Amino acid sequence: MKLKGRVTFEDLGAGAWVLEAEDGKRYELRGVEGGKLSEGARVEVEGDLDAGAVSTAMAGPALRVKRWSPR
Amino acid sequence: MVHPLERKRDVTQGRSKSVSLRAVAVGLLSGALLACSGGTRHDKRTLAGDSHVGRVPGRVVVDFRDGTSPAVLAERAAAWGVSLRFNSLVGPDDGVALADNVADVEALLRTIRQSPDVEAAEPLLTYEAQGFTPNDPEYSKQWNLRLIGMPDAWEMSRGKGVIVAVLDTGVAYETKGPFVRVPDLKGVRFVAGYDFVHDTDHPNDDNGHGTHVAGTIAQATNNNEGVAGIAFEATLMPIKVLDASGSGNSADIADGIRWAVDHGAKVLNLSLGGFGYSRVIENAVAYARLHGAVVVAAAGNHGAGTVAYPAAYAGAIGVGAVGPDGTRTPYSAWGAQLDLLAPGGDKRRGEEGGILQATIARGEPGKAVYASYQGTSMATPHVAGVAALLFAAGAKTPDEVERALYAGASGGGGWNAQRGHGLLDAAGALRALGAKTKVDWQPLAASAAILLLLLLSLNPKVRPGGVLNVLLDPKLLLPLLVSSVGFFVLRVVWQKWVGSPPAVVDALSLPLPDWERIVFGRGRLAHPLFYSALIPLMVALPAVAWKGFRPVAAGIALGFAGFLAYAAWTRAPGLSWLPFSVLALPWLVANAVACAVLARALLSRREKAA
Repeated sequence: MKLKGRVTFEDLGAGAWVLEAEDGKRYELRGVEGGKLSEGARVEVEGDLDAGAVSTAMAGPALRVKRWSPR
Repeated sequence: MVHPLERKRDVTQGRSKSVSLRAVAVGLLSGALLACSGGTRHDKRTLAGDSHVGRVPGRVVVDFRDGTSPAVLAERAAAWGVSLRFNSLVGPDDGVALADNVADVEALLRTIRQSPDVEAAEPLLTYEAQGFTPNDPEYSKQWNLRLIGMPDAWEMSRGKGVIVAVLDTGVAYETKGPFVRVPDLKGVRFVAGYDFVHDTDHPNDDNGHGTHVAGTIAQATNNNEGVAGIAFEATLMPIKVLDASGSGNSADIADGIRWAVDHGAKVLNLSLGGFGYSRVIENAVAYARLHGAVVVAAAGNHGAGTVAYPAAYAGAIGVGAVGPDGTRTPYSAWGAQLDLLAPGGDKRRGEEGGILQATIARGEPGKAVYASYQGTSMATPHVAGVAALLFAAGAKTPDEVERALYAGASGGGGWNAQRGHGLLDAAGALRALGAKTKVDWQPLAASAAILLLLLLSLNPKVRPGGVLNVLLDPKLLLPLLVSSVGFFVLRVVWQKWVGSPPAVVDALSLPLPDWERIVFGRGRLAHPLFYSALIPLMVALPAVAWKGFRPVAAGIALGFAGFLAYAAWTRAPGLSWLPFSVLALPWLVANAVACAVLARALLSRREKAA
C-alpha cells in the first residue's frame, strides 16, 4: 500500500516513528532508519501492513516500509 | 349519606396523600440511586501520603496574636508559670510559641485559652510519614509509587521469593562484553532467563526498555542509591523477545511465555503489544493462566477505545496508564478488555511527569543511566509488581491475585471501559487479599426502591400489603437476596470452615445473574441472556397455575430488576457482543423494566380481589 502523510517520533515505551497518514490513521513505521527521518517531515511511503508485529511503542498498526521519499 | 362536597374533599385528600407517597417513593428511589452512584466518583488520593500524628508529652504550642512582642511573651510565661519561647525566627510575626516541661498539659491549656492574646493553644503534635520510606535518594521523584500506596504496602509485602518474568528487550543484569549491569540492580535476585531473539542464554538489553520495566518491578531498594522498585525482594527472570528496536514477533513471544511458566515464573510482565490477533499467543496466555501464572500486559498507546493484544486476550490483565494527577493519559488505550489503570507517566509536563528508573542509554548497552519513560509499558510493571506482592502475601492462584487487585483498586463502583476496575492500589489490594468477602448490597437497595414504586402503582384493592410486610416474607425475601446480592453465606461459611473456596462455590455465592460463570467460565463480559428477564420469566411460568409459588417468582423478578437497574446505573459490567452505550445500556434498562412489570403482575392480588 502507498500512503502519504507526516512522520513524527512518539516517545512512548522504547519510542517509535509514526506516520500520521492523510487517511487519518496512524501507522508505526518499521524498516526505516530513524536517523534519516526528521520530525514533522512530509513523506510518501510504500509498504505492507504487518499484522503479527508487536512493539513497546504500541502507537498503531505496523507498516513495514519498502520505499519512502520526502514530498 | 356522605355529603357530595365531603366526598369530593375525601377524594382530593386521598389523591394528595397518594401524590405525597409517590413523592416519597421517588425520593427514596433517587436516594438509592445516589447511593449507588457514590461508587462511581473519582477517588482523589493525595501524593503527600498518609501520616501518623502523635502528641509530644509535656509540650504545648501556643499561637499568640500576630505581632506579639517578646515582652508580652515573657509576661505571660511568668503569669502561667512556664517557660515560653518563640518556635522560630518568624515567631514575633506569626506568634507561634512553645511551652516546655509542662506538668499538667490540660490544666495549662484551659488557663492559656482564656487569655485574650492567644488565638489557639494545643498539645504539640508530631507528624511522620506512615509506612516504609526507602532511603533511595531519588525516591522523592517517584510520584508513581506513592500514588499506588507503596509505603503502606511495603509494610505488608515486598514480593519475597516470587519469580517475575520480564518479557521484553532484555535486562541489563550482567556485565559481559558490550553489556553492563546497571548499578541500581545490584543485589536484586535473578534466575536464569533466555534470549529468544538471538537464541542465547544471555538476555541482555540492547534497547533500555526492558531494564526500565524490570526496575519498576524490582529496582534495588533502600540501598542508598538511585530509585526504588515495587517488589524489590522478588526474583527477576529476564526473557528477551524484542529486538534492539523494541519490536518482535508472535512466535518468540509465545515461546517466551511458555518457557517462563515452565521455569517457575508466577507473574509475567508483557509491556508490549500489537494490533493483530494471534491464536498462538492467546494459547500461550491461556497456558500460563492454567499453570498458575498471572499475565499482565499493556493496553496500548494508540489512545483509542480498543485494547491491543495480548492485553485483550482472556486471561491477561490489561493495564492502561494514568499521569501524576491520577487520571488516564490521552495516549492510553481503553475499552472492553481494560482491567486496571496504573501510573504510566505523562511527559507533557516535562521529564518529572514520566516514570523514573535505572536503565541503559538508548542504543548504548554499556552506559547506565536514570531515565524517565512514559507509556502503558510503564503502567504494566506496576501491576506485575503488586501481583508479586500478593503472591508473596499468600495468594495461591491467578484468580485470587486478580480478585484482590480489582477489589483493592480505587475509584470503586465496579468495572467500566474508561478505567477498568479503577486505579491500582497496592496497599488496598493486599488488604483485600486478607479481607472477608465483600457483599454488594446496593442492588438490594435498588430492588427495595422498585418494590416500593410497584406497590404504590398498584390499586389498593389488589395491593398485597406494606413494603415491609411484603419484603419480610421469607418466600419472597430469600429469592430476592439470591438474585440481587447472592447466596453469600455459602462463601462465608466455606471460607471459615473449609478454606479458600473453589470456583463453583465462588460462582454460587454470586448474585443469580452472575451464575453464568458456572456455564461460561470467568470473563470480563457478562452474558446478555443471563443479564435479562429470561430467568425470571422461566421461573414465573409455574406461578401461573401455582399461586403459592408467586412470592418466590416475584422475589426473583424483583431481585433481577434491582440487579439490572444497578448494572445499568454503574455501567458495569459490559455485555458480550453488545457495545455498551448503543445496545447494552438500553438492553439492561428494558430488561429491568420487564422484570419490574413481571414482579408487579406476580405481586398483584387481582384474582383474590375479584
